[in-house]
Parts: sequence; C-alpha cells; structure tokens
Amino acid sequence: MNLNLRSKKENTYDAIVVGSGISGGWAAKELCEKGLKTLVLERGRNVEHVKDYPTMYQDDWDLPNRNKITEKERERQGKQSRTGYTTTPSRKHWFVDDVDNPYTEVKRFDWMRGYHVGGRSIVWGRQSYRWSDLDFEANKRDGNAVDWPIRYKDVASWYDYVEKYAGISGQKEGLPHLPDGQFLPPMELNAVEKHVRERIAKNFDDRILTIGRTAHITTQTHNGRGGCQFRNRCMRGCPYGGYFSSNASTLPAAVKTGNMTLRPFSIVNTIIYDEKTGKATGVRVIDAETNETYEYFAKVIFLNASALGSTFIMMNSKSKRFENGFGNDSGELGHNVMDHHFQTGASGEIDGFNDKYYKGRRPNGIYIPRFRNLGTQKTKGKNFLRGYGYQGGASRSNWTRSVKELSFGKDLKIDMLAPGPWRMGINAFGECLPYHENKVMLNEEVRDKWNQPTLTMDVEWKENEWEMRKDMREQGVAMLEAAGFKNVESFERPCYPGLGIHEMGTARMGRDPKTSVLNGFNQVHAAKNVFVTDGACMTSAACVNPSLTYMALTARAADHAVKELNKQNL
Amino acid sequence: MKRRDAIKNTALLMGYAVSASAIAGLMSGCQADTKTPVDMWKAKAMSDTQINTLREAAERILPATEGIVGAKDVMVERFVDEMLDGAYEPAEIASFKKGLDDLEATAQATYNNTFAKLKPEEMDALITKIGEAAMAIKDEEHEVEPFFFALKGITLLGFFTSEKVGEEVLNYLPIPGGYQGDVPMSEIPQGGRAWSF
Repeated sequence: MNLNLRSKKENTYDAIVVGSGISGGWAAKELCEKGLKTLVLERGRNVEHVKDYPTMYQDDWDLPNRNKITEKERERQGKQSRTGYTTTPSRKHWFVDDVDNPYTEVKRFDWMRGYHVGGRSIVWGRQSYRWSDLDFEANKRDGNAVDWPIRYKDVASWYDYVEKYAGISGQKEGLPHLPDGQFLPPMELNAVEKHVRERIAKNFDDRILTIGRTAHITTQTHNGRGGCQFRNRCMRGCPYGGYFSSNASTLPAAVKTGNMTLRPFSIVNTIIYDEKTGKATGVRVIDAETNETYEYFAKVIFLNASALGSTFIMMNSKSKRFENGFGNDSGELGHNVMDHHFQTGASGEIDGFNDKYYKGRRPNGIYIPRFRNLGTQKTKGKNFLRGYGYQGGASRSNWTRSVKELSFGKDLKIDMLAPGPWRMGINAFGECLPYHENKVMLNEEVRDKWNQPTLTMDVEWKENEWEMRKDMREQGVAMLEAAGFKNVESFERPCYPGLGIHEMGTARMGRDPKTSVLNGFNQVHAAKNVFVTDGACMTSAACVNPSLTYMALTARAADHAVKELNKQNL
Repeated sequence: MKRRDAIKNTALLMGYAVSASAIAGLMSGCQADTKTPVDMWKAKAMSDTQINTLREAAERILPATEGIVGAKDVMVERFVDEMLDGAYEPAEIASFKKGLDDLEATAQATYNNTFAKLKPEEMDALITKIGEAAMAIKDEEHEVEPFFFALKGITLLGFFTSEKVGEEVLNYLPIPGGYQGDVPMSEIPQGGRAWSF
C-alpha cells in the first residue's frame, strides 16, 4: 500500500459521508445545511446532473441494436443483466462491471450495483410509501428477529420533511397501514384502471386500488426542479429533474451551502478506530484510478454505501477491539439479509374500452396496498405471516401482440398500426422475514480489481415466502376476474433474492447491543459517532418500497448527529 | 414534433441550454447503416442469398402500402444483420440462418427459382407453409424460436423501431408534457394510430 501522508489537518472534516446514492445524498444535504464541513466519498466516477446523462434524449433508433441487450454486454455485466432491463444500451453505464467487482454466490443472489455519483438514485423505481406501526411492530408481534427500536411516531415528521423536499406525488386514501403523506397532485389512472378501482372497491371491502405514490414532480416546478414531462425515460437520467435523484436534488443543495467536498473515485476500504476514545476517527480510501491510499478524518461518519456496501466496509474494518468486524459485538453484522420477493401475480384482457386511449407515457403504475394480516381475523393470511401489495397497470397492447400468430401481409400491417386490446398486469411484492441464516460473508480469497476482499452471498426464500407467494398469485387472479377481465392468467417467474434491488437488514437497528448493530438513531452501538442509514439498518422489510424510509431515517439521524455533536457527546 | 424541436423546447422549459455533450450524444447515436446504397452495402452476418431472401420475405410480412412505407423501405434486413452480429446467441443465429437457407431451398425445389425472384403469391405460399409449421410446434417443444416467429418478430421489431416508422408513421410524441388517462380514440392523430413508444 502506498500511504499518501498528506497532513492530517488538510484531510480533516467535520463529517464524512460514504456514498452518494439516495441516503448518502440526504446525509450530505442535511449535514452541510447544518453547517458541517462534509466530505462525500463516492467510489465511482462523477455524474453531473443533465451534463452526464448521455442517452436522455435518444430514441430506440438512435441506440445500438435499437436498445436491445447484446451478448457483448453480458460478458462484462453478466450478473447486472439478470434483471433483463438494467443493461440495455440506454442505461448499462449506470451498472457496474461484474469482472472488476465480483461476488460469490452460495445460492443465487442478483446484486445490482451502480458505482458513480448518485448511485442507484438515478435508476431507482421511485415508488415511495410510508411505513406504519403495522411494520414497525411486526417483529415484536409475531416474535421474529428483534423489535425495532422506533415506532411510526418517531419518523412521521421526518417523512413529512423529506416528502416536502423530494416531491412525492400520490393520492390520499386514509389507510392506517399505509399512511398518507405530503403529496404533490396524483398522476391520473387511465380508463381501465379507474374501472378496476371501482370494481375492486365494490367486490372486496378490504382492498383498494390507487395510483402509485412516486417521487415525481407533478406541478410546474418544485424546489428548483422541473415538472415531470411524462417521457418515461427516467432511468437514463432526467434533464428536467422531474424525479428525485441525488444528482438533481440533494447534492445540488449540499453544494449550495459551500460546505461539501465531493471526492469521486474514492473506495472506502476501512473505518479507522481509536481504542483510546472508543470512536471512529476516519476512513481509509483507495483511489480507484491510481490505487493510492489516503486517510480522511472527521468527528462523525455516515455510512451510506448501500446495504451490502456499508456492511462490507464494516466487515473489512477489523481491529483488536472489533475482531469480527466494526461494531459487530452482536454477531449480527452481515446477517438477516432481506429483499422483496415478487414476479408473481396475474394478467388479463378486457373488452369494452376500445374507444379509449391515453396520451403521454406515465412513469408510474397502480398500487393495491397490503390487505393481509392487518390484525383482524378476516384479513388473516393462510399459512403465512405479514403481507404483500401489488404494482401494475393497464395499457393497450402494441405490435408485439401479433408475433405468435400466423398473420402476415397488408392486413397485419394495417392492424398493427392501431393500438391493440387493453391488458392489465399486477405483480405482487411480498415481505421477506429476517432470518439470521440469510447472510453475506467476507471472502478473502476472491479479490476485486483493487485487491480488496469481496462478499459471498448465502440467502434464500423460506417457507413463509413460498406460502405467501401462493396467495399473491391466487388473489391476483381473483381481483382481475372480479373486475371483468377475460383470459386471466397467473404467472410465477423466477425471482431470486436481490432481484427486487431492495437488499437490506445486514446491520440492523435494535434496542439491545447484544442482538443488534445499530441503536434507534442509526448509531453503531459500540461507536456512536458512526451512523449507518442505508438499507443495512433495517430490522424488518415491510412489503413496500424502502427508499422513502431510508431518506426519513437519514434526515432524522443527521439531525441527531448534529445535536449530539453540539452537546459534545460524539 | 421533431427531435430537434424537442431539444429546443427543453432548453426553453428549463431556462438553460442543454449541454453540448448531451446534444452531441443525441446526434451521434449509433444505428444500422441505412445510408449506403443497396449495391454497395455488405452484410456482416449473412450471405448475399440470405440477405436477398430476408429482404423479400420481410417485405411480404410488412409490405409497402399506399402512403405507408414497408419493410424494404426501412431496410429491415440491415437491422437484422446488426442484431445477428452481436445481439443474438450463437444457437439463435444458426437457427435463423438455417431458416433462410431452408426457405431458399424450398423455393428452388418447388418453383425452380431463387426465393427473391418468386412471384408475390409464391412467396406468400412458402411463408404460410413455415408459419403453419411454427404454429404446430408447442412452446415446450423447442429451445430456439421456430423460424417463422423469429422472422416475423424481428421484422416487426425492425420496422416499428425504425426512425421512419417511429417518427412519421406512428404517432410520435417525444415530450408529452403530461398524462391524460382517458382520451377518446376520435382525438388521436392520424385516424387513431398507436403511439410510437
């Protein structure tokens, strides 16, 4: 190792934030706005809003192979291609090179990573739902894992806070288990979805269909960003800033304070721990371009390197005090990996709407909130705990509808120039229980491009998930049939852990240092000036998309960090 | 609205000019070569006979009709050549080329002529034959797509994702600016054609 010994003073900040994705961006904004000189370390290249979105305006015919994934991409991005949508020519530059960044699978695990400024906030699904006490109390209620150290009342005002800044569009529905938020105007349901909303309300007194709650600007402008233009090309980066990303939203806010230093190509290798004070003093960084090693120091460190990224850094930070990884007195570091299981549900076709169409490409779908195990006998799930919600949508089919038919010639061509029948599909997203034996481990044998150890994944769905999936599939069919669809078919596609890209749980929060890694303010129990506020902190998974909760927990933790610093407690 | 106009509008909307590098990226998109004249163009993944068979078969699947371009006009065969040269798996490539060779062999055996020189109704008869063969194969009985479906699928893909069809034949709306979920078909341009994407 070439240790670059610049003066310690020059490399000292008030705060260090590791990672610049959804939660890192929020940590940077909050800490900078509260006056802390903050160093943001990002392992990948810089990405400037608008300037560095190379495909944002390209139509399919402008892209190689009309935007189809090629065999060549699969050579370097074999694992990143597993979703089927992440490595198309329009967006492959947002996903890592699997050869430079290997990991090992005891069981298949689809780990989608974006190493660049903004991380996966550029490509996220943008669905934004609040948790409720149904979720925060879940572990305690059914006796799984450990209890969350917080409840809805602890985060409610922080949800308000991040929603107002990020801009979340949605429809208030008054559900206790899916709390309403500070919404921008909802996007519109289309004609068929409105029909299904009515039929579901009429046929199922425990269920509703609502428009997805999504991090899009549905007003003219919002906090300096432009409104969504309904191009539905979000994953390429949005020139309008129409959806929330670190690049469009939180990082510019941090820059504005004059307190942020952003250092791309900075791979955090380890946390530096001082036994005398019982605190972390800084981090060791490998420059991704030069391989030189640097040390940076700060009073407070936020780990926001993504759930498994932050966990890796902690596991790799071994010292006399922490022989099994930083803050790992409980032995839970790397355990309790969760994700959402999905890829099961139903689809069908509906008559009677062929005189109707839509205009614009809505980057959002419908949501059917959880209706299982809400605490009443009636909602009790058959043979499983927790629940699931559906995401999906209705649309008119395009030319692909005719491929498997014998037709060709003039009539086919004329027919395919018109929109086809209306179809609707709904895909259920289910909660995964936290199992101690679902884990990631440090692998000293397999090394990455920078000669760092790597991760080995050993994660699987278990009986509760498989039993839940049966219901996810059956109820999908029941709802579409009740709504008047014909040729309703259920589906069950392969879905391995990781595919939901909601990996979480590997440094969980808890009340007891003996059974958890973090406390109720996301501080490492054993080194309180280190905060972990990405997916690693999650004690359970709920069934809703997690990013909004990461934002709220991060803003809350940053507030706590600054208060504690001012009291000289850190 | 054309793409260049769309960029201009973007700049107006945002109150700042979109950066030069973004526009450069936009203008230099890589795509199948549709500029080289037919007699100068050389396929990368197929023989001359295969290309000729493909060109004519694609045109029978999506023929030029009054006022609307056909497969040949948008050079579907050049798109297919690009796809075979990198986007397809070896087994798919082999199966596709064999399908074209079989079509040519059947043309020779049945009409004693090369496929590309057959009368339209003769081509249609042979395409119907491979279509019926494909329809008879059950999904679980094949590893690669039966040739007719592969041919029809890539012809439709090449046609409907071409610049000409995407911008001029279908309803092209690069920057919708909003979403309306319930629009009567009578208000959809061009007599109710589908949106481009």
